[in-house]
Formats: sequence, structure tokens, C-alpha cells
Amino acid sequence: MVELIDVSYSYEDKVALKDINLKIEKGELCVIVGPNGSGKSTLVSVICGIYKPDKGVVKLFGKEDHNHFRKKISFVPQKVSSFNQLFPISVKETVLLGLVPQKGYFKGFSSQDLKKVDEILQKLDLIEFKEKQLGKLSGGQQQRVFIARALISEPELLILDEPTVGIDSKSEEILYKLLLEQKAKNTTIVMVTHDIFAIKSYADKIICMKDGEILTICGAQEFSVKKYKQIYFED
Amino acid sequence: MLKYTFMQRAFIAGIIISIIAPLIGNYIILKRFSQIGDTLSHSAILGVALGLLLGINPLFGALAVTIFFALALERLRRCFKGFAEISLSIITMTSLAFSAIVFSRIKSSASVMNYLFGSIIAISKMDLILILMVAIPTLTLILLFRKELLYICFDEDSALVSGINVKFLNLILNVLVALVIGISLRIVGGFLISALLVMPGAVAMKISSNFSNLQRYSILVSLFSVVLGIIASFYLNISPGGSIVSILIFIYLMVEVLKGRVR
Repeated sequence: MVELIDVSYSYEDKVALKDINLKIEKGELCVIVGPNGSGKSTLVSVICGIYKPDKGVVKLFGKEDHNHFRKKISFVPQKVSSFNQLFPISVKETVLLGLVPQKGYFKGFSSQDLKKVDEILQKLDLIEFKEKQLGKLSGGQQQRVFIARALISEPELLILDEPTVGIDSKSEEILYKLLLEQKAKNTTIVMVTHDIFAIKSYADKIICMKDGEILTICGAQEFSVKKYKQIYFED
Repeated sequence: MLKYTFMQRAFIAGIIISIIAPLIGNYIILKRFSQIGDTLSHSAILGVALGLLLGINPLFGALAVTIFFALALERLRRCFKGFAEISLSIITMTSLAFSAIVFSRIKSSASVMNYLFGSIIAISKMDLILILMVAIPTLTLILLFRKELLYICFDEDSALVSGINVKFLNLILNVLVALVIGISLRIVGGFLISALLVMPGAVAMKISSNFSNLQRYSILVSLFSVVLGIIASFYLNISPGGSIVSILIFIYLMVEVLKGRVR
């Protein structure tokens, strides 16, 4: 589903990713971990196509040219902190944006689409906020709205960049429940997180990063929390 | 007042512009790129100057030059990724420098003033036809790309990831701003057109909790200000650009005060 071959990426003269090789199979829940500045978010941005690698190949759905498959990809950015709280957009309008790529140009939203919004908001316990301005919701609720936007298009590849940062335990619980549901539907999930519990409980594959390189790729069984903390607090 | 043909034309042109300007202006506010209005209005002034110098309809000149700089802007913006305001400054200064040179070669200053601050008596039949010819496709494009434009304003990265052609839409947005500026020159004038793009949205943002309301309220504010501004211009013999923008500022202040009281 996702394959990176010898991928490198630099910001001006700072190397952010160095010779990354990895493979994520269809239906896997892959977690990317590592200390701040280790290149996790850059790696996700390269997988998503936000950044073009300086070197190497990114294959999605087995192809180097991903343009035809983009509608099957959903992305949940680290948005809660950077999102402008004054942006005049309702919860319903935000979730509908997730359907824009599927609708294509020139087509409006149908009553079927609005029904889908209701269903997903119900699932995420957000239906009472449907007409509310997004910025008026709490951080956890906003993050759930972003997740609803990502899931409404029923993606085959779901990419999440630190979705649990700054959210309440209820939102976290709902998020993991939904991720497991998606996994059961054979959705491939790539998630950057610091949440040890999630790493140990849900991950099929753990990619451990440091200084722009992959230190190890292992399963949840082999993952050592002690070793992870060592990497974390070494500096 | 409506028995005068020039007033009929002013009202028709004013109403068209007052609907289109905030519709497109709201996107540039949400993209935090409001300054583009100011920048391209300077390009429009250069277009007017070139039109007057070459003896062609200055509106044609304004439209052509503004579209050219709108396209150049997108290219420059990519060169200064993350520092978009540099590209705006470059285009503003380039337009002003060339305008200064071209204006110094033009003898009549009266017609120049009309394009800088707007005029209700200056709208010819040809201008009105041109405004309509540009307004219809502009409005169509805004409506066709409504949801995609909102997506790129709200979250450009996620839009890109899921296959929205962000580069193309940014270009379309720039061109739409250029077109709106081009056709609004006659009524509001080059110096004040960016206010018509931004101020109705600024007012509407204060009272809107969703995008649909933002669009609705900004059109209402814009329509009210333009119609009242044209009437004030007729009776008080002042430039319509000045009266329209003054009304917009007054509405903005009123909303701020009322919102403060509600709080």
C-alpha cells in the first residue's frame, strides 16, 4: 500500500529524512514514533505528497504516480493548534469538505451527502454541534471533527499526524474505537503518535525514528517501551 | 435620479460588482491573503494608465494588466514559499513605478482621477457591456469552484493530499480577484477597490458562524453600501469610491460597537 525506497528530504540545508526504506501493507495500522525533530511529520508529509522527496521513490497503491488514487487518501493534520479559531465554518461544512474530492468540480452536495454527515457525526458523538462554528468547540471536539472529515470519504489509506495531542480522554477513546473499526474494514492506517498505550495496544507495525533515519521497524510484541524512552530522553 | 441614463448604468454596474466582489473577497480573507486586493488594484491603475496612453478603453487595459500580474504573482509566490507578502510588495512596487512613468506622459488628469476614486458619470455603455461580459463568467466560476476554494482556504494541505488541484485553484482565485478589480475600477476606483473586496467580509465575519452566512451577509453589506454610496455620490457630488468605503467603515464600526455591547 505504502512503499518508500531510498527517500531523502531536506529543508534548505538541513537533512530531515535520510535514505528511508519502508513498506506498509494493506490493512496494517502503522505507528511512527520518535523524539521531536526526528522527522516523523516530515515522513508523513512525504508519504502524503505534501513534500516531494529530493531523492528516492514513494509508491502508493503500488504506483509512483499517485494522482489517480488521491481520492482514496484522507489526512488528519496536527490541526488543533494551528487552526484559526475565528474561521467562519460550521461543523457540518467542515465534515462535508471531506467529500469534495469525490464530488469533483461543478457538483454540489446531495441529500445523501448530508445524511452521511449526520451518520458520522452521530458516531463521533458530535451531532448536537452540527450547526455550531468549529472554532467554538473544545480542542478534543475539533479534533473529532477533523477525523469525521477524514472518515466520511471512506478512505483506503488514512494518515494521521499526532491526532491525540491536546485532546480529552473521551475523544481519545472514540478515536481509537474508530481506528479499530477502520482497520476491520481493511483500511491502511499510518499514524504519528507519542501515545505509548496506543502503540502497544493497536499497532501492527512500529517505525521508530531518530535524526531523520529509521532506527527500527518492529511489531507491537517486540517493541520495548524502555528502549523507546531511552531514545526519547537520551538528549 | 433614475431618469438619468448614467445613474441607471451606475446602479446596474454597482449592483453587479457589489455581489461579486465580496463573494471572491471572502476567499482571500480566509486565505489570509487580503493584501492581494491592494496589490492588484495598483496593477489595475497601471493598466488604466497604459489604456489612456495607447488610446484604448482603460478598462481593457486594467483587465489585461491585472490578469498578467495575477498570474505573475502566483509564480512569484512559489519562489518565496512561506513569505507570500514579498511577492505582493514586488508586484505593488513594479505597478506603481511603471504607473508613475506612464502617467507622466498623459496630459489629462481628470480622467485619471475617475479611475483612482471612481465616478458615477463615467460609465459608458461599452463599460457596462464589458462589466457584464466579465461578471457572468466570473460569477459562474465562483459558483462552480465554491467548495474547492473553501477547502483550500480552510486546509490547503489536506485538500492537496486528497487530490484537489491546489495550484490550479490558487491561480483561478488570483485571476478572479484580477477580474473583479478590473470591472470595479469605474465605480470604486483603483485606490479603494480592495476595501470592497475585504470590508464586507470583515463585517460579515463578525456575525457569521458558518461560511454560507459569511457569503450571504457580506453580499447584503456590500449591496447596501454600494447602492447608498452611489446615491450619496449623486446628491452630495462626491466620489462614489469615497462614499461607498466610508459607509462600509461606518457599518464595520457599528457592528463592532453592537457586538461589544452584546458581550
